[in-house]
Amino acid sequence: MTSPTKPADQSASPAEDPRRSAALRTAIIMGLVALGIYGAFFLRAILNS
Amino acid sequence: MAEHATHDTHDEHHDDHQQSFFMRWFCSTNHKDIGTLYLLFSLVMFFIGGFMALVIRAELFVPGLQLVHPEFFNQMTTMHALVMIFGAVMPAFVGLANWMIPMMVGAPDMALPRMNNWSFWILPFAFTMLLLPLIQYAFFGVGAGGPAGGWTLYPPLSLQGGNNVAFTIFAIHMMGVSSIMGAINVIATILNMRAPGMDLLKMPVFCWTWLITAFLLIAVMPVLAGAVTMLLTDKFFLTSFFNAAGGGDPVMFQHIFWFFGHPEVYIMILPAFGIVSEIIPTFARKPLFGYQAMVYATASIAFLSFIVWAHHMFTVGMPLGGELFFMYATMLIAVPTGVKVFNWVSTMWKSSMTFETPMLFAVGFVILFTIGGFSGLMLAIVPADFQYHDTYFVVAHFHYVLVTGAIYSIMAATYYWLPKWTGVMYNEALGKWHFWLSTIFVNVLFFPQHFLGLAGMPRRIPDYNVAFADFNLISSIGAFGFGLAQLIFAWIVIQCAFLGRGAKATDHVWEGSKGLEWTLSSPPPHHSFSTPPVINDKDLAHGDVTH
Amino acid sequence: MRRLSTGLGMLLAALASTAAWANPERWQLNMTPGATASSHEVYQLHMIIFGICCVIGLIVFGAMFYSMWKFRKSKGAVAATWSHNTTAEIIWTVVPILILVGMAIPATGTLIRMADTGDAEMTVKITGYQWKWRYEYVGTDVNFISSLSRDADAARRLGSGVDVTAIENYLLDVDKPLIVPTGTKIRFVITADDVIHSWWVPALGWKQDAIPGFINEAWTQIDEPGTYRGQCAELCGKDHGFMPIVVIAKPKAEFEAWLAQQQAALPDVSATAQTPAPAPITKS
Repeated sequence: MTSPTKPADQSASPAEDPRRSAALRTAIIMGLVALGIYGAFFLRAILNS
Repeated sequence: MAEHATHDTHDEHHDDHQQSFFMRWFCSTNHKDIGTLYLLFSLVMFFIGGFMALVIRAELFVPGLQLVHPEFFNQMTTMHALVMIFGAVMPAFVGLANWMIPMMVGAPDMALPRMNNWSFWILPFAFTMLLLPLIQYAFFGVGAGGPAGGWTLYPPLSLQGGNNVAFTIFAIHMMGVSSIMGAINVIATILNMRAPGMDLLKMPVFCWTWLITAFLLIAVMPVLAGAVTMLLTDKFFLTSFFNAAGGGDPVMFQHIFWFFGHPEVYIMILPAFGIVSEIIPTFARKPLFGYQAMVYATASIAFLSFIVWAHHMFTVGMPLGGELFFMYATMLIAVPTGVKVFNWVSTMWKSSMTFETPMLFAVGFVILFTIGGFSGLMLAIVPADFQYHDTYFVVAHFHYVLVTGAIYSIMAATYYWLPKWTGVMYNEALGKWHFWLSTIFVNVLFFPQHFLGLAGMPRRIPDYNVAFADFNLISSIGAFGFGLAQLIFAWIVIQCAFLGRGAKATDHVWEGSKGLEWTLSSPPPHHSFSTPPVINDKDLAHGDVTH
Repeated sequence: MRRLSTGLGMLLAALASTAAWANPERWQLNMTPGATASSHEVYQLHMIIFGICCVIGLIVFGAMFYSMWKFRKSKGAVAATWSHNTTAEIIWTVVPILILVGMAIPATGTLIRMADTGDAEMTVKITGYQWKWRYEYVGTDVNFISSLSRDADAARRLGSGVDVTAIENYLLDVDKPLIVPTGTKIRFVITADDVIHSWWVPALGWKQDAIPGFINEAWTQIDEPGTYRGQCAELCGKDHGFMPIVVIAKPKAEFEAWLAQQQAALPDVSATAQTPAPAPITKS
């Protein structure tokens, strides 16, 4: 493994990293999962009562 | 290589100087700065929660009430737990994840830096809200004080609180949002930001345990949020989710709460497993034994954590079949946990060990956490649990797994990576003093509590019969000793992080250290790996995993 | 140190005699074997698991301490490079499973016996209130409230100035204890009126939560006459630590006489035959 060779190039604009858009997609999916679990518990509890 | 890295540091420090204090710390999007904020927040909360614990132990020093009213005592036990769990342990692990995961997987930063900032800055507000009713009452004599129904918030008791119920619930909502965002960030970073060649099964175990922990967080924090929202509507909007008189079910709260609560226990211990799995190979100078077994054991523990929740409720009157199922499932957890302990011991077998402070804490973790594991196994046996449940035996059990488990691993991690973070070696002699004093006093503090519980002392009582006096006295002495020993820890951290005192740390810091984070300078550059590093299998901490 | 060795001596004595320690003692280190067949079973189960944990602990910690003593860099140890051993890994996965099965079998048997509340000869209804217990002898009109004894209640106040160690059975004594017959299978039905409580007498071998809106069941059969003390085990508010339980087991004939006397002393049957009146407001 080597240390970073061209730090200035990419650290200046990390937003252009193609991995970021994939990461954003992952994040949105996980966020929806969390909301879904919250909602599902409520629905279950309300139907129960 | 080192020259390059140092050069980077210089550049980035140059950038840092252009940032104002406000921009750097309040608007930070840098994983290291946010990691630092999390860790410092956690340290502050550790001392606040510890102070509450000392109020409890001071009142329990001798029989009879000397210092506080029972109601205030209950507020202390409740707040101690909430502050330690949500304020000290969880943020410390998130701070470690922030600092280490991008460096360990070869990423420049966390995947979502702005969300990272948000998830930290929610916390100080959440805890201000949580502590406000207590502060008002304790220091200004206003209101009725903080929540006093136990951190588990069981209704109907928790609903007897006044407006502090609303404060507590909104604070828990905010902590939940913060934790979920932190977890999302970890998942996105690990799944999407790894350097090419850093396959999932080549990641350090710490990353693996955190990835699994993050999934647990996303699965259960919404459940807690749901449970407390129902409490909120029961209290203020006349619903009857948990109100028996209105057709509700108080036991349903316990089921929902522990469906969150048991995975929560593993949220607080899986990253600790990861830390110890990093530290032991380093100081044993031998690859981690059974890397893949470690990963699968972690995943099994995470899976099992979802089907054991009712072992916290063996005395609520479940049907026989339910009790048997939860007993068997709980006992099963001993198998993957045992695998982990055996793997750590095998890593130490035929190795070449030295015992610097991180290793001392890691070894202390393995031994004392295992003692907590044994009492956990005893608690799983339902008929015996009928006796142990809600006694000091349980208190001893979960403090062995949380204090000498989770907290010890956080301290081990701090000593292990502090030279990397600050570029300065901590004071080794003081570190050893901290370890030995902590270890002696923590056992004086918690070991006698096993005896108290077996002798019949219930937990959460402010006063007790003279039969329990002797071990309570010993336990309280241990508590003050342990509390004072932590001041050494704070001083060591202050010396390294704020005063910059100590020998200059090398990039590798430890003789046996392996992994990407040690290829960076100490302290590391502003963006960890702006260009993805080349991964060389034999340089990884767990050795070549292909065979 | 001498007191600790006294404690150890008492522990050994208790291991030898099952009748010892119905109630907590100073320096007590272990669970009480209790006063019923169930509590003896629980105690034995507890000792078996404890023993197994000790053996496993000795092996694991022994291996650790041996490595820490033997494989030190300062002693010139050279690290091996292996990181797998399939045989060992299979052994330490399978052997614990077998041990767990061995633990689960007796635990299951005990649990099934403890869950069987059938064939009870009498029933006592227990209701938890903040912060006292109500006992009703089902089928009779006898029912009463049992709360913390008066001297302890005065002494426990913050700044009372009373030396609580001078009070006998401090916080473990009540004004009106629950009287039960020996040698009789007694079924308890347990509920609560306000918040969740938990009824626990260690000598009986179990605790059971008292939950508003729920009726839980448990049973006991006490062999030896005696006084057995316990406390509320579920946090139930500010006086959670101050609602003890005292069960006095008397020979059957004495119990019958006591019950008859209680019934005779009832002022007006029609007034008390109803469901219990709400608990009086506490002096807080």
